[in-house]
Amino acid sequence: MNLLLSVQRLPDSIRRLIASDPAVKLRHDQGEPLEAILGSRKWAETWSRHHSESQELRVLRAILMNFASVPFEVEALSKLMERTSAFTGAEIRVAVTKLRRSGIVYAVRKAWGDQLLYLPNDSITLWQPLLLPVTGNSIGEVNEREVSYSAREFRLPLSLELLSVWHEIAINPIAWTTKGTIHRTEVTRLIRKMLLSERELSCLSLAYPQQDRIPPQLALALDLGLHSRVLNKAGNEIRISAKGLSNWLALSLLEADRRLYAHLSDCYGAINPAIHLATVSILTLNVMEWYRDDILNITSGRFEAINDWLELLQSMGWLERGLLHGNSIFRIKQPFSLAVENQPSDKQGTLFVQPDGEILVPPETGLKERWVLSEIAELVTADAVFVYRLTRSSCIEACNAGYSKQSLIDFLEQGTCSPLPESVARMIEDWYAALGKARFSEVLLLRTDNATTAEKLKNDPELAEKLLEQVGDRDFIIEASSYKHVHARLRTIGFPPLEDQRDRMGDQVEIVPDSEVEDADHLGWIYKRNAISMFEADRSLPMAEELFPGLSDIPATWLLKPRTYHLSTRKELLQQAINWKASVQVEQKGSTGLFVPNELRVEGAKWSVIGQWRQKFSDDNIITLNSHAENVEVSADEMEGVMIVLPSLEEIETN
Amino acid sequence: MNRSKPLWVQSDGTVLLDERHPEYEETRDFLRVIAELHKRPGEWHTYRLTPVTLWNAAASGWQSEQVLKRLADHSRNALPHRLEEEIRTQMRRYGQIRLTPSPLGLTLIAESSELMTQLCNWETVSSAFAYPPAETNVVIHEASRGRIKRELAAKGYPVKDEAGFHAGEALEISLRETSDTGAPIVLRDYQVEAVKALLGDETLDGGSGVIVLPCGAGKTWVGMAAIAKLKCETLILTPNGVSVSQWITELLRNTTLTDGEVGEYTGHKKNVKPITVATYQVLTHRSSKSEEYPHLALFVNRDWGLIIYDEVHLLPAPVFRMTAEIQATRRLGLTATLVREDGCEKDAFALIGPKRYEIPWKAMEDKGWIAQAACTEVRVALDPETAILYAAAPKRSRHRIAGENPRKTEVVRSLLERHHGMQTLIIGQYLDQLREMSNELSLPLITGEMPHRNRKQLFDRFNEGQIDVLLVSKVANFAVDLPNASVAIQISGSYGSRQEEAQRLGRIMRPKQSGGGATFYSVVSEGTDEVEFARNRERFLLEQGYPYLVDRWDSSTNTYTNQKVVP
Repeated sequence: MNLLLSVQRLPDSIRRLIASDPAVKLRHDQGEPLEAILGSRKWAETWSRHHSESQELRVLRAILMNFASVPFEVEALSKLMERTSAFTGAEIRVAVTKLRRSGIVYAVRKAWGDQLLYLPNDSITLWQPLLLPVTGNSIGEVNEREVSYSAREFRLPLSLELLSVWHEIAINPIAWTTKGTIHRTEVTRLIRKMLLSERELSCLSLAYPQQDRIPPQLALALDLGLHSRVLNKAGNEIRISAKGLSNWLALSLLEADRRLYAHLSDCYGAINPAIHLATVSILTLNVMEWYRDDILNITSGRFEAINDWLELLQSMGWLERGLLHGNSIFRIKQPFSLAVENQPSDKQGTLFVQPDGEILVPPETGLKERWVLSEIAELVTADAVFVYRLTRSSCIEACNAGYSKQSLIDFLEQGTCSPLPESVARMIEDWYAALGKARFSEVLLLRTDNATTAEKLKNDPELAEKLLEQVGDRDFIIEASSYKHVHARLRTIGFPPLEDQRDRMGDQVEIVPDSEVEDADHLGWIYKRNAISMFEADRSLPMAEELFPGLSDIPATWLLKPRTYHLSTRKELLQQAINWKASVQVEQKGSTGLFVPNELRVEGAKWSVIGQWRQKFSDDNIITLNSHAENVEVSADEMEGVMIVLPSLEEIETN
Repeated sequence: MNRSKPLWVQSDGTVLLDERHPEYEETRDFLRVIAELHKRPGEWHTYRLTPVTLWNAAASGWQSEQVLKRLADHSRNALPHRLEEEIRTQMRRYGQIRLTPSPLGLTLIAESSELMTQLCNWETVSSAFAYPPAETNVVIHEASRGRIKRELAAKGYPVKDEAGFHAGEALEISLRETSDTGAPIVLRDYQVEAVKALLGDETLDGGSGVIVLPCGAGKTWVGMAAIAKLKCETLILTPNGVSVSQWITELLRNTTLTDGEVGEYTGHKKNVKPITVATYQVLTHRSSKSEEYPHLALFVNRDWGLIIYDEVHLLPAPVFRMTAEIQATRRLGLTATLVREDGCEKDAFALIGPKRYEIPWKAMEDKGWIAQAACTEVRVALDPETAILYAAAPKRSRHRIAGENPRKTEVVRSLLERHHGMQTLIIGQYLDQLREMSNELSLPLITGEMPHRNRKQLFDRFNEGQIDVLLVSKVANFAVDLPNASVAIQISGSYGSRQEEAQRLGRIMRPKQSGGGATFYSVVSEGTDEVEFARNRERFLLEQGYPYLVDRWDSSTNTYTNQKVVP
C-alpha cells in the first residue's frame, strides 16, 4: 500500500499525533497535507538527523533491509533483530510504536486481530538513500570497446511497447468468450505486438486470472494498462478508457517510463525486499554511467535475484548490461528519479514526412503524436526511429477513427512544421476522395402503420418540426434528443406510440464508467501478493500497558533502581522481564551489568537464568558486548540487585 | 539525441541519412562503401547494411573499427550494440577463409583450426575437400572452387579467392581511336576507373567482380574496355535478344573486332566466335524439366578468358550453377543495382565477385553524364460509357478497361504536340490499343510479333533520327538502347518490379544530343486502379530521388489542369 492511502486510512487520533511532531507541525499548520510532508525528502532528512543515534532509526534500517515494503509481524522483526543485533524485544516493540507515531511505519489488523506492520511501498524510495545508500560510485571513464555487451535484440522502452498493445486493444477491445475466458486468437494478436517474452518475465512469478491462456507479457500489459487507467475493465470487456488514455498521452516519454518503473518496482519488485531495494537504488544512479552489478547487492546473498531483475530491466529497454574485465556491469539509459522534471518535448518538427508517404518518427516524439500516428498510418518499423506509412487502408482507418482529411493534414503539418510534400497531399486527397460518401448510421426511426398516418403526423406543426427526414411514405427520422417530446406529442394528438424499439436501442448503449475510486491494490490484472488494503487499518497506537502487559501490576521499584529482593521476588521479576523481552540491570559483586534473560531454569528449590550479557560496567569502564554474545547461565545467588530496564515510554504515553 | 549529426542508425542495419546536413556528401560517400542505397525520397535517404555490403567494404580495404567509428561519429543516436557486433562479425569474416593456389592443388586456408573444424562439420563444404585438412589448410577439388564459395557465402562466410585466373585464348582487340562518325573515342574517367578497379591486384583477389553503374552510364563501354585490356576471348551474357544486337553493334562500331570475330548465340542463331554474345534465356532453355540445360555447354565450348554478365542482378539460377563451375575464368558483372528480387545477393558475391566500383545515379546526373529526368503522371477520366463498363466489370477485367481508355489517345496527341520534333517512345501493354493508336496517329509500332530484323531496323531508324516517334509493346522494357529517346509515354501496363521501373526509366536516361533532359509520362485513367498502380511507380521514382508531378487532362476543353510541366 502506498503512503497516500496509508495516511488516509489513519484514524484522526494518530494523524493528530503525527502532525504534532515539531518537524511536521509547521508545514502541516501551513496547510501542507500530511502525506505530502511524510513523503518529502526534506522531512525524511530532518527526521533522520534528529534520530541519528536513536533505536528507532536502527530498527527502521533493519525493517528496510529485511522487509522493505513486505508486511511483517512484530514478532518476526523481533526474532530477526534479537538474533542479529543487541536489541531486546521490548526495545523493538517500543521503537516500532514510535515509528508508527512518526508516520513511518503503518499497521493493519487482519480479520482475526493479528497485527501486520509495513512500510508504504513508495516510501522505500525515501528511506533507502538515507539509511542504505548505494556504496560505490560509477566505474568512471570506460573504454567502450572493452565492454562486451550481451548481444540482444533491440528493445523499445516499455512505454512504447505498451502503447502498441494498447492501441491494438483500442481497435479491438478484449472480450471474454461465453466460457469466461479470453479468446486465444486475441491473445496471439496482442502478443504479436510485443517483443517482451515469457522467459524474460519468468523471474517475476506473476499470478493472474486465466494464467493458462494468457502469457505473462500480455498479463503485464493488461495490468499496467488497468493500473494506469488507460484500460478499463467493465463487464466482459477490457477496452480503452478515453479519459485515462488522454491523461496518459499527455505524459512525456520519460514520465511515462518513470511511472511504469515505479509500478514495476512497487508491485512486482516489492515482493522481494532485496529486489525492491535494488530497484529504488537504481533511481539514485547517474544516467549512462557504468556501475558494477554488485553495488545493488545491499542485502548480501541475493545476487541471483538482482541479476534476474537487471535482465528484466534490460529487456524493457531501460538499461544496458555488459562485462568489463570479468565484472558484470550495467548502466541506465534514462532517468527514473522523481527529481527529474518532466522535460518539455521539442515541438519543433518532431516528425518527417517523406514524399513517398513514409513518416519518420524520431525517438523524442511524444506519446500523443505516436498514438495519432498509429491511428492514421501503418507501422513499418519500430526501432530507434519509428517508421510509419500512409496507405489507402490507413486513410480508411483514420477516417473511421474520426480524422477528416484536413485534420490529418493539419496533424502532419504541425508535426513537421512545414507543408506536406505535394505527393503526400495528393495521396491523402485521392484516398479521402472516396471516403465518407456513404456511411452507416444509427438513427431513431419513427414508424407509422401507413402513409395516411404519416401524413397526419406531418400536418401537426409541433410534431412536424421534430421530423428530420421522411424515409419512404410512412417513416421519419427523428433526433434522439427529441424522443420525449415526440412521444408526448404523439400521445396528445391521439397516436400513443409503442415503446419496444426504443427500449431495444437503449440496450445497445452500454455506459462504461471509468474506475476512479478504486485503490491501487484493486486495480490491474495481476494478483497483488502483499495486498494489505483489504485489511482494516490499526486504529490505535499501543499504550504502555499493551506493550508491556501487567505493567501497572508490578511494584514501581522494579523499574526504578536495582534492589536486592527475596529470591522468589527476584525470580518473579526476571520472569516478567522474560515475558516482556526486556533487559535487566544486575549488580554482581560490586559491578553492574545489563543482562537479557531468555529463560529461567528451575531445579528443585534452586533456579538460574539463561541469557546474554549486553553490557558490563565496572568502576572504570563500560564493556559493550556484541550482539552474538554467548548464552550464559547466571544462578539466582549471583544476582545481588536487579531491576527491569524498559525503553523510554515517554513519547508513546502521550497517545 | 544530437541533431547536429546527419545519421540515424537503426538496429536492423537501416541507416537514415539527412540530405540537408552539411556533411551529407561526405557521409553519403562513406555509406556507399559500407551499405546499399535503398531509397532516397525527400530529405531522408535510406541505406541498408547487409552481410554482402559489409563484405564488399572489407574487400575494398575497410576495417570494422574504422566503419564503427565513422558511423558513431556521424550518428545522432548511439549505435545499437547488436549492429556493432554484426558489423564486426561480418567484416572480420572476410579474409578468414582464403582460396590460394599451391603445389598440391587449390588450397582452402582457414584463419584458425577452430574455424577449419567448423568447416569440416558442414558436409556440403567438406565434401569438396580432396584430402583431410592439415590444421588450417585443406586441398579442395579444383572443380569445387565455385561450389564451395557459394556454400560458404550462404553460411555467412565469404571466401577470399586468391587462386587467380587462367588467361583464356588470346584475342587481338583494341578500342578504335575514332568512331564511324569520326568522333574521337575516349573513355570517361569513371569508366577507366571501373576497369582498373575490376582488374585490381590479381595476386590478391582482384580480377573478378561487379561494377555498379546507373542505366545510361555506359556499362557497355566498361565491358568493351575490359575486353580490350585483357585481350582474350569473351562470352557476353545479356537479358534479351535486342540487347545482344546492341552489344554486337557497339563492339563492331567501337573496337577493332570484325564481323567474323563476333557471334550471336540466341534463339535464332547459334554462332560461337571469339567474342560471343548470348541471352540468359537461351542458356536456360530446355525441352523438358527433366532435361539438362543443353546450351550451358557454351561456357566451356571455348577457352574464354572473360565472361561478362550484363544486368547481373537478373542472372537466373541455372547460370549461377554453371558459373560456379568456371571460377578460373575472369568474370565481370554489370548492373545498376545489387539488389536481387530473389534475394540471391550472396550468390552473386560468391560467384561473380565483390563489388569493385560504384557511382550513384544522381551523382552521374549532376555531372551531366546522364540526362536529368522529369516524371509526370497525366490523369484522364474515362468517358461515361467506359466508366459504366469499368464499374460493372469483374476485377480481373478492370485493369484492361482502364488501360485502354480511349481518351488516352487525346492525351498522347497533345503530348506529341508539346514535344514535337523530340525523339519519343510510346510504351503500352495491350496490342489492340497500340495498333489502334498506331492507326489513329499514324505512328510506327514494334511488337513482339514483329520479326527481329524488322524491329532492329526500326530501332536503328529511330536512333538515327529518321523516325521521331515509336510505339512499342513491352518488348522495349529491357536492355534496349535507344540513346536519343528523350520522351517516353507509358499508356498502359502494370507497375512492374523495381528493376523493371529502373529499366523503363533507363530507356530515356542517356544524355541527349540536344543537351536537354528526359521526360517520362505515365497516362492513367482517373478514378480507376491505374491511379494506385501509378502511385507505386511514383513511390519508386520518388525513392530514386526524381521529382514526380501529376497533371489532369480535361477532355471537355482538351487542356491540362495543374499544368506544371514546361516543355
